[in-house]
Amino acid sequence: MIWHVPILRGLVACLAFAVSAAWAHNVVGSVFVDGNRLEGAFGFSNGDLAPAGMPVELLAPDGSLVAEAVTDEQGGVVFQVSEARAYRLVADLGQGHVSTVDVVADDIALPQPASETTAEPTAAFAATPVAAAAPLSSETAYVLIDPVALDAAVSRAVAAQVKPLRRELVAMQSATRWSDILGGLGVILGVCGAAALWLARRERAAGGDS
Amino acid sequence: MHVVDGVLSAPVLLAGAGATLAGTAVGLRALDHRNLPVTGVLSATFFVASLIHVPIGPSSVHLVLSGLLGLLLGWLAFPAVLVAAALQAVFFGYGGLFVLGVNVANVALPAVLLAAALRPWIWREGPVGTACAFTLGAGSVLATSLLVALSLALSGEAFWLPAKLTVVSHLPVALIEGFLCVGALALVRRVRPGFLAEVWQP
Repeated sequence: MIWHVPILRGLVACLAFAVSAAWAHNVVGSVFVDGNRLEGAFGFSNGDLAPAGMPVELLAPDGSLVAEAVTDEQGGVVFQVSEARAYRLVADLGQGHVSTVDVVADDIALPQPASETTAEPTAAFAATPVAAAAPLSSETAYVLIDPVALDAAVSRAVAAQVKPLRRELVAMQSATRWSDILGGLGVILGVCGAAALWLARRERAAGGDS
Repeated sequence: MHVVDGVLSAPVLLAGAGATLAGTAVGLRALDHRNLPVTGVLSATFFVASLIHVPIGPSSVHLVLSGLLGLLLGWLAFPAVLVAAALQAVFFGYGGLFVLGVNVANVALPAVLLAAALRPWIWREGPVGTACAFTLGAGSVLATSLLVALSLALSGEAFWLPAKLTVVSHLPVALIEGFLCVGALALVRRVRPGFLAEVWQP
């Protein structure tokens, strides 16, 4: 196992109601990658959000600790990462209720270094005649938009819109379905049938012997 | 009551699996065509009980019913809980398949041992039998929460604080299950007086 499970930390901060909430339901977690920001959201399978102040760890693939944070009121946590590689978020809600969410390296887009970012827009736009012909100082009413900033702004706007949907999706996926309950009951019935068959065979065999 | 996969250390997992295997073996030896239906029904009840959330204060807890299983099934509680817990892991994602042994042992062992210990007195009519049934129902839940805390402690986590927290948070369930056991015993006495003798025959 590359991933080790971190020792329970911050349990002292746990409130009794938080623990009983954790006991009653499954812990679910999701992570949304926005550039180099990893936004984790943790909660319970009944739709409740994780309580504030729960420790969340950011682990590297080798299991080493990269960063630590605690959940906010929304059960969310944000990490800024500096490397585009795989990460794992581990939320410990106490009493063995641990939720782990993985992030793949491909999802992480690191921002361009500061020196490049300033040079980048002009370089990118210089290729197009409009931008080249219209520097900001001229009277033409062109506005030079930094593509990196635009990209970031769009990502943020989309992320804000998608967030509630994501939360709902996670809650829906982990919700208990009637088909699951009935399926489980059906399996128990089947197991009992098999046991009855086995008992009947055993009794018949015993009867045959005597 | 369910510990998830990847939290407990290997020795704890092995010990739990061993205890569950042994308990299930003892239980299956006692299985015959008379107690098979009860075992199945109670296994199904245990499977569904975890979905029944009892709202308490700002939160809710779910029923365990282990005391009831110990009372009515004896060692057969092990196979009953094993089947139900395996299905809960598969269908609901409670716990996991690697920790199945530990989870089953944590739930079934206290119930079976308590039921066996209280057996001489639980038959009696009146307050003694009632007290025993209540102790069985409530004690099983509390002992299970202590065992869960112990499993975590043996895997390198703190013991006293989590243990205290879980016991406190399970006091309401323990109370409910205590009364449930008293009710179940009274019902069994009235409907089928010879039932407990059948279950607990050697």
